Amino acid sequence: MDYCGAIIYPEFFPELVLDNIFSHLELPDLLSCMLVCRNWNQAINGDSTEPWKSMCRFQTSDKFLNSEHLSSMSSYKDKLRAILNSWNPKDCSPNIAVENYGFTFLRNLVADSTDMVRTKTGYNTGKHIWEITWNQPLGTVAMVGVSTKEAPLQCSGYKHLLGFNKHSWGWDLVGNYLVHNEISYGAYPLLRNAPEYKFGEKLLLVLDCENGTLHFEKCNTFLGIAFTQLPDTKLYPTVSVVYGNSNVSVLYIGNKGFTSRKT
Amino acid sequence: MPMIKLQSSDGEVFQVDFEIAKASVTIKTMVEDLGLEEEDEENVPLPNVNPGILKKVIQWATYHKDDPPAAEDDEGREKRTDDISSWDADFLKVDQGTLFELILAANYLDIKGLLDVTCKTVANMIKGKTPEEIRKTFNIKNDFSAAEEDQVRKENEWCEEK
Repeated sequence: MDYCGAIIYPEFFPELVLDNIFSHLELPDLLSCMLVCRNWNQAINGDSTEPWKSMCRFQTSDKFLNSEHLSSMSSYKDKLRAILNSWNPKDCSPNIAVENYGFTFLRNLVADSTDMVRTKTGYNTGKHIWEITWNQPLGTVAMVGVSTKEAPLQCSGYKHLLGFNKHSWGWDLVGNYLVHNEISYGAYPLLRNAPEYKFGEKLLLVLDCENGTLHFEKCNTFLGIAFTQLPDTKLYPTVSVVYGNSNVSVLYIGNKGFTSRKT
Repeated sequence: MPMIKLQSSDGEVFQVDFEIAKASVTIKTMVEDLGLEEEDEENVPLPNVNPGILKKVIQWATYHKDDPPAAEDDEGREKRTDDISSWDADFLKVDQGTLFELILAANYLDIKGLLDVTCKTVANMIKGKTPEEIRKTFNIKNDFSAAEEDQVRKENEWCEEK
């Protein structure tokens, strides 16, 4: 049956119709739709918030979307991106309980164990920034950095698990040095008389896949390039902890205002 | 039972039970605004809807006349698209042009149930396809430059996983 109407171009469907269609899709399909044509990309990434709002509601609750964890994010897309760049409950040591949709985790009281957790999304392109905060004392070893999916998530003893082999790169916040492939890569921060990291302080972890580097910032201070020549595989922000009640929060803040740094 | 007369784009007039026509918020509002009453001779003009599509819309609204009213609030709009009833699925076994006309008619006439089910049908046609396959399915021209396409892909890379 054909009703011989004028030809209709789905790329120019009214906004309300496109919103409705896109709201029924999951994220990978939504990505495909952005890549179909300019107008669909505009419908998804322009002023309309509907597809992202629906996606956020699918992932969390309205209450959480308005909570302190996400209040600094102005758009639903930013909120969703933060959720999908937070701690991964399916990619952590069994001694770690990921809470608040991934924005914090709590390590259980276990003796003689080092425990690690990665975020949900890894990158091998682009430049990305996460804000990481220890909300409890550090214990004897507290590491922050990046790892591939290959890096082990748990070991016995209190060790430099992040940096234990060639799949991870870590900064020990207690000892103030860098570790990769079981080798110490020297003191860090690369500053004279750098003040020690104290729990409660916000650290920025900056992964620059374009230049293959990782660096940290604290209180608007650049702490120096920590690692260079990172491989072209997906890297995930990771922390490893030993302290009984370790509680570390993470927030993806994108790449706004990012400028490439040179050593 | 009060009837109203709906006039399609080519002037053809359809007599419809007002209770059924009320599924369309647009018609309901027009009737109220025009102050039409029972047995009124006046037609409700629908210049944006052709007779074939109007007939289909009336058929849909007649079948669904006893449905509970759609919830106003979209909170927690369901992502699932596998809940299309078998009657609706049969009803929507039409060519793509007709499906698109039904979508535009549902949008113009403001019939939420019909808009949802037709949009779900389109969503099902999109699922699991690459951008190129989607373009092919709907005959959409790629108007991105290679650089623009790359930019969109990079900025939204995080959507790929999970």
